[in-house]
Amino acid sequence: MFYRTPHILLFFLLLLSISTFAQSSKQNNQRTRILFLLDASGSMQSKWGTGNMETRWHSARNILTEMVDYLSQRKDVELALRVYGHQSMLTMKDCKDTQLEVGFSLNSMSYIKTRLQTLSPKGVTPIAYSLEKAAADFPDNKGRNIIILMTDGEESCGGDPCAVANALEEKNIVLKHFVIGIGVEASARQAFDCIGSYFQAQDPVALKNTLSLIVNKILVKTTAEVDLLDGESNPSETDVNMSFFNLPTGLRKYDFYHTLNVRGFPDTLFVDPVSEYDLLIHTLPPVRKENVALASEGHNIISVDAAQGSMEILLQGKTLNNNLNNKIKCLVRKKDSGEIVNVQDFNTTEKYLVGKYNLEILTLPPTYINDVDVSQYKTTKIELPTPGIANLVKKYEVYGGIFLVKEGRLQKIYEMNADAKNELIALSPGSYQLIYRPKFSKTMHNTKTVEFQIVSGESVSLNL
Amino acid sequence: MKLYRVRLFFKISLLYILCALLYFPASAQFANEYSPKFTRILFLVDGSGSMKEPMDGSTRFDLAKNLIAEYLDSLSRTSAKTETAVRVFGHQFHRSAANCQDSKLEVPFGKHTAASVKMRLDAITPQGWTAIAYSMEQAAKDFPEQADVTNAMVLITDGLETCGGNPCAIAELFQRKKIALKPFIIGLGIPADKQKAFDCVGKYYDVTTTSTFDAVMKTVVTQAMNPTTTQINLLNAFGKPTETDVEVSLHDSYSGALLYNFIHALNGAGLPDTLMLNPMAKYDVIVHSVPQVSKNGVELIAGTHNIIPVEVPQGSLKLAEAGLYKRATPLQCIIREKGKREILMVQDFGIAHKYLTGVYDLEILTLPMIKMQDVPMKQGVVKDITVESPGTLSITNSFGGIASIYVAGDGKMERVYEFKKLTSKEILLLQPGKYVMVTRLNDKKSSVFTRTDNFEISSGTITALRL
Repeated sequence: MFYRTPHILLFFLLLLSISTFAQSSKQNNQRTRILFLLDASGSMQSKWGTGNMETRWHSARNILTEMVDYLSQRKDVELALRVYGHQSMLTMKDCKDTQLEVGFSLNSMSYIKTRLQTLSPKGVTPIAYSLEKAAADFPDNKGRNIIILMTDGEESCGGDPCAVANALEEKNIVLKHFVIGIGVEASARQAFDCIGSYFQAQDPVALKNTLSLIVNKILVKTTAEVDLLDGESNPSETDVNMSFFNLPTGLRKYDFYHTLNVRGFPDTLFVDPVSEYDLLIHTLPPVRKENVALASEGHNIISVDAAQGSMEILLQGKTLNNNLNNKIKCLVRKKDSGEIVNVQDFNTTEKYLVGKYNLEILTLPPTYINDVDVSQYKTTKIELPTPGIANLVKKYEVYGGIFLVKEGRLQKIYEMNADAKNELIALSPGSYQLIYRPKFSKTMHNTKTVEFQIVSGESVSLNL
Repeated sequence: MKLYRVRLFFKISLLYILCALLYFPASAQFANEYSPKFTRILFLVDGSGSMKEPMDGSTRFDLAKNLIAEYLDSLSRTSAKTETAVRVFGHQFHRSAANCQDSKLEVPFGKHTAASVKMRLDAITPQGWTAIAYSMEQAAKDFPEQADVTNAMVLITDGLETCGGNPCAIAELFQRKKIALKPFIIGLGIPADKQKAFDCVGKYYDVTTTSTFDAVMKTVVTQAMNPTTTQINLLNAFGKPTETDVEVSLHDSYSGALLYNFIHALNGAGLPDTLMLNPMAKYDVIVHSVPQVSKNGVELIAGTHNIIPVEVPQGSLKLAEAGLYKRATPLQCIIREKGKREILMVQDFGIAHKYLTGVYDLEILTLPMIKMQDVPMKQGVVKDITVESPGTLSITNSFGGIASIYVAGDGKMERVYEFKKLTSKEILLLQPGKYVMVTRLNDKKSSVFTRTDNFEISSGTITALRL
């Protein structure tokens, strides 16, 4: 037992050093910017909560103030405040009533607290327009730009907040939108769902909890690992790139080459938990895992079935002409879908997901090998004899081709290049017929047929 | 000095042409082409009971007898290289005996048979059954086995098979074994609705008089004695016989034996060559265009010039790479007929090939692969497909590692290539475009050290990445 200790220590040290690096590169460099978009429309004056003691506006203002206090301890967070509906009375229907009250800066937190005290709710709810304006509130898109929208009603200015929010995420201006519905009916959910992650707060306590929950999700350090499972559900598959696509935008956020750590387990990744992801594991063929959500706290394990085996394709025998041999490619198709998974060169080994494949090999004539089984940890060997070479030496230009006799019928497998002087053709071992006629001849009676044999790794000269 | 060289060149060229002519003697026909020396005609005469019925002032049998006799008489006065024979059926046993093997070669093949035929037929009284199939089967053996003879059989009957045999099957046997031309049937008073039964046996003629019989015999002799010539017209999309220079093979439809193969040609007048084919056989014609076109079960009309039209409308496909980059191994393109799995052709870049008109799917083996679907090939049109020439990606690094190259965008990330073990210098040809390379170097072997490089490749230039 005790002799193991040093190893374990070493491992922890290593893990520590890796995570320190990762934080410095992925998290510290990335400043988190939160823009609070606060509803100050007329309806925020309504009273709510137990006994209808205070207005929605007062609750929101106080809870937000507390949150700003809490966040002021964080050096990696910047805040800003945008408010809508607070400048014009409801009767004016001012759909451009939105204002960045406090912009992102180092001292923004104290400004936000004082500014909140001076505002009062009045007007309409131009959510879409406010989001549009909010795009310019972020100084750049290098940080984690997040908008938390707190509203007690749906868009009332005819805008499409969902379209605007999606556009901002697609343009990489905003990483994620969160929406808190203040005392909103449950039926309003649909209207907000498409803007971002939606939370409903029915009373002041719920509002406070919801806001903490969201902020925690934004700030917590989340770790993850991807387990690439073999056929026995062990996470032993590795050395394959994995792309993480941000949802719903589909933007590629991370690429990680899957690596096993010194203990032989998948190593730790640092992935932003505010988003959901589609995972694309670049095996042959690729494996997709959709809608991967990460829990904010703790270590997430994402399991993906990626059992693989290998296929080795070999030419056996003496090589006469490398350039001709290099033309022999192998198209690997999935048996069920027929889709081309890979074009493999000869004398190479490639990994494929376990399963059945059909091969089309560009020998002359083409070689078809169906139902090739790739199984876990095994290497399926495909061996073909090296081709022989027919060296056509022409006295004159000719029309014609090389034929194979199949079931008593001639089958053309190669058409001669009527303009070429000489031709070198790599052919699979077997017997062939060369049928040709001089280009200058005006009668088919000058057709000649020559039978010839091709032996693997040997060359045959045919004088035409 | 200059003049001398030109002359020398001229002399050498002339020498070449002479050699070529010697090498390819202008033979008029293939060694195994069909050239019959003479003709044999067998008369198969119905001697069944119904032949006693009156017709044209005498009986049907007498009419048949006289027609044959007169014809043989006239034949004996010509120098035609013809032998004739007579087989009769249904004449030896009475109806009541129901003898279905009542068939006899009364006069075997000979040059001057008129007298003996007359004598034999005079002695016959029609009385029995109509065993046509059996008689034809026997008649097949009456023809001596000889290769350079055209055989013909003339069946003279007044009724259908009554012995349950299948004359059609025997007629097919004639063709299969090249025993004789398709039988000529002379019907004596057979009702129109029953004449159809002979359609599969051979050519039916309704004969009532001597003059119509003479006309039929003229046809028989013409077909049997005149040379049968054949030409194969390869038609373009507009039905014009202008396609040529493609391999054609001819098979015996029945045995499948390959009889001739040649590369189609048009002479100076734009006409295809003439082939002498045995008219007693049936042929399968395969034109080895890409894809090939077959025409099966082609029958010839003997004694005439036959034209076998085969539709092989073609266009060509020319594949080229722009720019001056020269590959050691030519770029390849896989060509498939639309919707078909089989590889039709793997065409190298830099040359043109002909294809039947139609729609094809192409896979060009560049990195990444270029797939082109529904590429149309039109009559006489050269479809030019030019792909951009590749650029070179050069990667240098000191640590080794693993790296893969992708085409990225719009939520997709498609793997183009993977270096399983990066060496210190890697070179890769890629089509122009934007790529992403994802690398994990061996000095920092952990997922979080995965690096991503965006790079662009342009034609004919080198993009260098230092990792």
